[in-house]
Amino acid sequence: MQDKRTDEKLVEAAQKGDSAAFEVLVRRYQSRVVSIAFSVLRNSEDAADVAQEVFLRVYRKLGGFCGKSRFYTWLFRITVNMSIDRSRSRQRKRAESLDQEDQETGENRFARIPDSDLDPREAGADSELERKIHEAIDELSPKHRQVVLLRDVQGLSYQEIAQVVRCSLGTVMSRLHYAREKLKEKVRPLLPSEAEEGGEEP
Amino acid sequence: MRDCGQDSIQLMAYADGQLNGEEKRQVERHLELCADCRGEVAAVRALSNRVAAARGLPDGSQADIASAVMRRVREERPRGWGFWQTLGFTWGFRMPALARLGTVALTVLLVIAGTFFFQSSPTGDQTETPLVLRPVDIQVDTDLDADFSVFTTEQATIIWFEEEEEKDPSMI
Repeated sequence: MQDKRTDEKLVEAAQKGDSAAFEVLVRRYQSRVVSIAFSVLRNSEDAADVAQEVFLRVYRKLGGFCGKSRFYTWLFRITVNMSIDRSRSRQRKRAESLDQEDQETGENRFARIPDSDLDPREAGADSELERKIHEAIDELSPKHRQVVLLRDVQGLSYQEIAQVVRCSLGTVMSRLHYAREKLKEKVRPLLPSEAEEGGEEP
Repeated sequence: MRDCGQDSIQLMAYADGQLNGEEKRQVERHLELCADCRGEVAAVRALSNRVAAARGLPDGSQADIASAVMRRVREERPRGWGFWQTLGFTWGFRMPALARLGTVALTVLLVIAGTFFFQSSPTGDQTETPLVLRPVDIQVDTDLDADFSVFTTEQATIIWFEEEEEKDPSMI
């Protein structure tokens, strides 16, 4: 049966040492956390792994959570940051191994570091368009990438994104606009004509 | 700003369904007349759908990590329950904002005092180096899940306590 207590009540109980209350929070948000991590990392195993680390960190820091922001915005912030950290360290590892190979062969392939740790489904992107989209997203800076993913994949409102990334609404909008312009530059030639896709009114 | 005079960020917010009231009606009135902006709205939505499809969790992915998390939580629990809990959270009360601020202020004072202590030269044969923050010196702790940021420079560590931004109710 689903626990109807609010996040705030569950957090309060967990802060007093009620681990069952913490488990309810984990079950309530695990899909969202895995999904956010996956959107950054494009690898199910890494996403599940980071998600576990996120909840453990949240558990450790729960005492310091004062309820100034909503629990889920705090949780999502930790998730985004840890996922980006993981993605960086994965890239660094890849760069180091390339560097080692390059030293042996005398080549330099730092111009673009492909991410070789992706799931086969994602790595074998089913179209040129999808490959371009992945490439364009990965080339965005972390602060631009996170607003695009939180908006387009997670469907968060601008206000929620502002709370997650701790910046003003105006900053969210300008980052999102900039990021989308960058994505458009890369993928627009491959998109079907706009008339074909004409969206519905919100 | 677009060629037709329409604000492009406002148009994007409309495409994302983030406008309400008069602002939304204003964009809708403009869209009736401007085919270019109608195309832009469609393009923003198309791109957004593509990103969602490309980066969404694949169907049938296993997102059940709760059991694994709780196993690790139970293993971890007896080892101690964190710094804040030792300050009283296990008894069920939260530290008031003023006390938190006080703690941070005290830490900053201690850091500054420590910096002066280590920089002062009892023999007087060394010139005192002023604290100059150059961008190359500064390392910012990117761990944003704390309520404060830590800036580390060659000469000092500065802890910046951050208040949550006031929410403007007139915003979306």
